[in-house]
Parts: sequence; C-alpha cells; structure tokens
Amino acid sequence: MRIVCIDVPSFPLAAWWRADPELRGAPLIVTDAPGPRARIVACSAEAAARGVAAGLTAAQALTIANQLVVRCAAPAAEHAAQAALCDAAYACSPRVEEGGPGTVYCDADGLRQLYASEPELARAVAGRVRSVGLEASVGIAATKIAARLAARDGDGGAVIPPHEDWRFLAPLSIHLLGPSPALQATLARWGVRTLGDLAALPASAVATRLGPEGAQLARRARGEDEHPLAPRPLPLHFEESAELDYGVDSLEPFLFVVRGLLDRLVARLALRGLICGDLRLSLGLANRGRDDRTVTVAAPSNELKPLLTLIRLHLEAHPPATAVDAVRLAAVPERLRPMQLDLFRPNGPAPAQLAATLARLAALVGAERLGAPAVADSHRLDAYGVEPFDVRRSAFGMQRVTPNAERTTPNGGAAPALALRALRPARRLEVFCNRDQPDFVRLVDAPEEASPYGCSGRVVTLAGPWRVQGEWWRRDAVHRDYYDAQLSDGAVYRLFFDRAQQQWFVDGVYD
Amino acid sequence: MVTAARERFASLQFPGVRLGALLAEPVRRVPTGIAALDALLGGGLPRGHLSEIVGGPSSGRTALLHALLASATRRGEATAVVDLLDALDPPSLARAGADLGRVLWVRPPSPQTALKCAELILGAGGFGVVALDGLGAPAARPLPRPVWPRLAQVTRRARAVVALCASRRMTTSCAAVVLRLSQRRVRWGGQLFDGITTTAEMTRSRFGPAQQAVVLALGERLAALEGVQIESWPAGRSGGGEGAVDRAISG
Repeated sequence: MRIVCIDVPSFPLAAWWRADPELRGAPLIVTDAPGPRARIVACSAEAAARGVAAGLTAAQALTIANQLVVRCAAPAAEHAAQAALCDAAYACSPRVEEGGPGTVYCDADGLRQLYASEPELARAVAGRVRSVGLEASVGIAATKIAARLAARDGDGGAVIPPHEDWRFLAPLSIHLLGPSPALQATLARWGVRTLGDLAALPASAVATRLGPEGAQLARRARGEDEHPLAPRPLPLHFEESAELDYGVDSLEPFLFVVRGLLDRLVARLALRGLICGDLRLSLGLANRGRDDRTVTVAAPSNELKPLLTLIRLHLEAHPPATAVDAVRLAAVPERLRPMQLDLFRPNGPAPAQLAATLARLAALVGAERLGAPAVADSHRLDAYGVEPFDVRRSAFGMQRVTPNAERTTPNGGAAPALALRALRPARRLEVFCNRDQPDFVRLVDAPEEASPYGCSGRVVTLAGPWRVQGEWWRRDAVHRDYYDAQLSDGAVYRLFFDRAQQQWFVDGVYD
Repeated sequence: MVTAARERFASLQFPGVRLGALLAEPVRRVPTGIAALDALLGGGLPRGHLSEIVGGPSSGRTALLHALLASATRRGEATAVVDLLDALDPPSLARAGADLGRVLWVRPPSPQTALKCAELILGAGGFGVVALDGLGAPAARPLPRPVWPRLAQVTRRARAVVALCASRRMTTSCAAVVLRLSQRRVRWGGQLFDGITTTAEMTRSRFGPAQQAVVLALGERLAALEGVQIESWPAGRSGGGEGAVDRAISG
C-alpha cells in the first residue's frame, strides 16, 4: 500500500497566512491566547531570525524584537484551513483520513493511471494545496508514519521508494518522533540517537525497560503504523470566516473582506468539482448582535464577480443595522449539471450574467415588480400573477416547437389577437345615463393623474354586460357587470359596474 | 444614383487617393408574426436597432407588440418588457401565443429607471426582443435627447430588437424603423366588440423605402371567450341595470 502524507508545518501560522495573505513576509508570531502572558505556539522565519522562538511569552518576544506582528491563534481560521487541506487531498484521492491539525493522509494506490510517477503525484498534491492558500510538504511511503517522516524531511518532502523505508528512516533523528522529555533523556543516556539505533534494539527488551511508551516509539521507529489508514468521508461543509480588527460600516471595505472569503470558498469548491449555490452570510455586529442572511444564487456558478455582485446588491438592499466586526460566509455546494444545448434554438442569456442582472433590476425597481407574467387561476378578469423569471428555462428551454408554430396562434392564425392595456388600479368613473343607458362617462379624478388614455367622452357604442361573480369567500368578492364601450375619442374601453360598491370603473383599453 | 456617383468619382484622377468599398453588414430581421406587416418591413424589425411603434389608444400598437413577443418566444428567444405604466395584461399576452416563461416583465417607477432597466437587460445579453412600453405617456416628463443615441448604441452591441411602444415619437432620428398605427374603424360583430381595423404605416426606414402602409385586422374578441354560449342578445345598445344583466351572456 502506498500512502501520501500532506503536512503543513507551523499550522497556526499557515492558517493566518491563508486568512490574511498580507502577513506573509512579516515577523509574525501566533500565541495561544490574547494578552502579553500568552505563549507563542508558532513564529515565522522572519520572527525567528530576530531571536524569537516558540514557548516564549508574547511580552518576552516583544522585548527581544519590538516590531513583531502578534496574532492570537484563530480556531475558525485553522478549522477552515484544515477543511481546505482535506479538499485538496480529495482532489487527488477518494480515500482520505485526517491526521490532526495540518496533517492529512490519503491512499495513493490506483493513482498510477493518473500520474506517471510518485514524485509527479507529490508535485500535483503540493500544487493543489497551494491553490487553497497553504504551503505543504508531501511525503509518500508504504506506511503513515514513514510518509509523515518523509514529509517532514528536507524541503518540500520526499518520496520513499517501495521496500526502501528502512534505509530512509534509519539515519533520521529520534526527535522527529516527538518522545517525551524523560524518554528522550533515557535514550540519550543509552546512546540511541537515530531511528535505526532504536529499531535495532530487541522489541521485548525495549518494552520491558521503557514501558508501553517505549515499545510504541520502537514500533514507530521501525516504520510500523499503530492504526492502518482509515479513510472516512467528510461532510461537504464550505465555510470561511474573518474577524475584523474594528467595526466596518461602509460597503466597499467590507466587500474587500468578503471577496477574500469568497475567493477561498470558490477555490475549495472547484477542487471538489462543485459549484457555489446559495450563500449564507452571518455578520457579527458591533453591538454583539448577529445578522444572518441568505443570498440566493439563481444560477450556481464559481465565477467570483457575479457572486460578489449578488452579495453587494443584497447588502445595498438590506444594509446591516450597525458596523460589522466579524463575518462568516458559507456556500451551499451544488453539483455541476451538464446542460444539453439545443441546436435549433437561439442561446439565451448566460445564467450567471442573468442572475446578476436580475439582482440589479430587483435593487432598482423592487423584487415584487420583476418576474415573468403569469395567468392567474381565477375568474377575475383583472387577475394576473408574477412568477420568478426562470433562468434555466429561459436560457435552455425544453419546450418543443412545432414546425409551423411560427405562424400558428391560439386564435387560429387568422388575425393577431386583440390586446388589452390594463389600468391598474381601475379608475373610478362618473357615468351619465340617458334612458337607463350610459351616455357619457368621465373620470372622477383629474384626467392627467388618473389615466394616460383619457377615458372620458360620449358613449358611441356599447356592448354588454357580462356578469362576473365569484370568490364569495373573500372579503373583496367579485360582483361586476362588464361592458365594452367605444367612446367619442375612438378608443374602446373595458368598463365595469361594481355591484358591491355601486360604482363604475374603467380597468383597461383595447389596443 | 450611388453607382453613377461612384463611376464619376472613379473617373476623376486623384493621385494617391483610392476609392474604398463600403462593407455593408446584412441586417438581420425578427419577424413580428403578422405576415402582412413582415412583408411591409422586409422580413421584420431589424436586429440591433431601435424601432418605434407609435399610436394612440385602440390603434393596435399593443397587439402588434404582443405579436412580436409571441413570435420571439415561440422561436425560443428570451424577451423582456419594460412596462412603465404597469399596463401589460398577461392573459392578453398568453392569448397572443407568447410563452410567458420567456418574458421578463419589469415595472419601473419612472422613465429614467425604465431606460436604466433596458440598458441592464441589454447588457446581460441573450435577449432577442426588449420592449419599452409607456415612455411617451402625456403625463410623463420628457426625457433628454442624449438618452436615445446611448440606447441605440447599447442595442447595437446587444444585437437585439428594441421596440419602443408609445403614443408619440420619442427617439428623433435614432430609430431605424418607425411604424405609425392609426385606427380605421372598430368592428362590431352583431352586438359584440369584434376587433379593430388599423392602418400600419412605415413612416421611417433606414434600410429601404418608407411611406408604405398596410391595413391590419386585429383581434377577434369572440375568440377570447372560449366556452361561452351565446343564448340571446338584446337588440340595440344595452345599458346597466338588473334587466339588462339578466339578458346577458352567461358563461
């Protein structure tokens, strides 16, 4: 069996570099807690060059070198970095096991069809880890412990050829296995300094003299795993977060932060062969409140710009109550669905572009004034519906077209259907009757404000009434008599007499 | 005349000057779905250009717009209606044969917003027909003239048909085609409103001769009342009141 170990050295430091790339190159120290007495758990090479080492307190380090950048360990950033590391491993192999913070094992058996050699596999894995913002060393060996030691050996790791584990492990220092200080002192007294020295000792004698810990150390020195590789599937959870130094109350700086989160999320999704669906944005407010919201992504995509535009438009439409000092962004992963394009239909709008455009339009006119018109299931003549404009249906419709559909209309194709221009809401009319018949109509309100069509004049021809009665269970039940009336201005209007209100209205003009 | 001018120009001797050739891009047309009108227009409204449909109430401009949308959606194109007056009647559009799922209906609050919406839709690409309805309403504040060249440029890039439906001309010289509709008569079938006969006159065309007209018979009101049985109908004009209603058509 061949096992790949992906190891990220100084993992707390790497998590911070991933969350804030501007910290690369800075003399950064990461402490285990806030405050001057907190211990340093990791420090960058620049900080180490100034004499700082892990184990010192932050105050001691600042005494040695006063230009250090101090950051407290961020569990959320480390969790996201660990998940990203697993995503990179999954991009190479389907059998992955987490080996603690900053370490992941995966099964390399069967990957020879994809990669020409094991060094090439190691380079590919390192490249994928780099794509999620981490720098890892990769080791490949027959066992987990050998692969881990190979990853920690030298610069960027190593590949131990099959059946040569022992030759590789024997000269390595015993410190690489991390024995306890007492055990380390005992081994030093015995003159055991390398893995080869320890492995050469009889196993039973080591167990008798050093106890279970010594026996376990000897097994690891021989390159034997305590547990075999136990791959287990990880949940598809894509979340990135950031803590801000101070509350941000303007959109542009906040979007700059969100862009970084989104960039990392999209990179992780791409590694798993997924695309970004809805986005869940959780804002930590300066008043210690939380503001959770969902940004609907009509057209799932991994393109950064439209996704960021959707977040921008959402925040412009619904700004948070106060300044934001923390943000958590989670993506709902979706599978990339292949679409069958139609040879005989024109291409519709690109789904991602259309989703951004719909969001912009909704911000401009309001979401309730945007959509696809629909015929309502009602006997009301003025009833209508608005449905969401379906991107996929619009772009790649599956509705078939009959060959002669070009000239076929529901009314038989003889003449274009007559259209009605609706007046919403219906305008009140004053009707003057002559011998119980409407003879003259005029709008009750001022004509310029009431209707763009006039709707006033002598009745030239009148047809009707058609009684529409129904929906008695509603408070605004319909009980109307409809008429088609041609007025002296030449236009034909649809009038109705509302029997409940005892009032005349005009609700449309035939055009 | 152009050929003669070219020959005359070519006969002149200008050292170092070469007569160039005009690369005319063929105009693609989008049929309106009304055969007589398409014949008048030379195949339909031009893609990538502004077109104006001008007419008063009951002139048939909305029926023409619905026919254009229906024709485009039946071909599978996405369309959009920027409806400033909130006047679109979805049942009418469905009766015209449009696939309503392919129609994006936007109801902006002001003419300026309507133009911005149209530009956004055109910028998204993929929309075959974009209709702007209600911009020329009498109560609406007139738009500044520079908006029309800008809209024409966006339309050219989007390669869509942008149809402006209004009661008066709006775009000055930016429209490639202007159709003016005027009502000839209202048809009454017996005592029922049957439809409108209208004259569609092409008053401007950038691609061919203008000042041509065609008479269109729009609509069969009866066709909209499917399933309705006419039992009796009173002679003469009928008015309101309980007695008139009792004699009405029952559905």
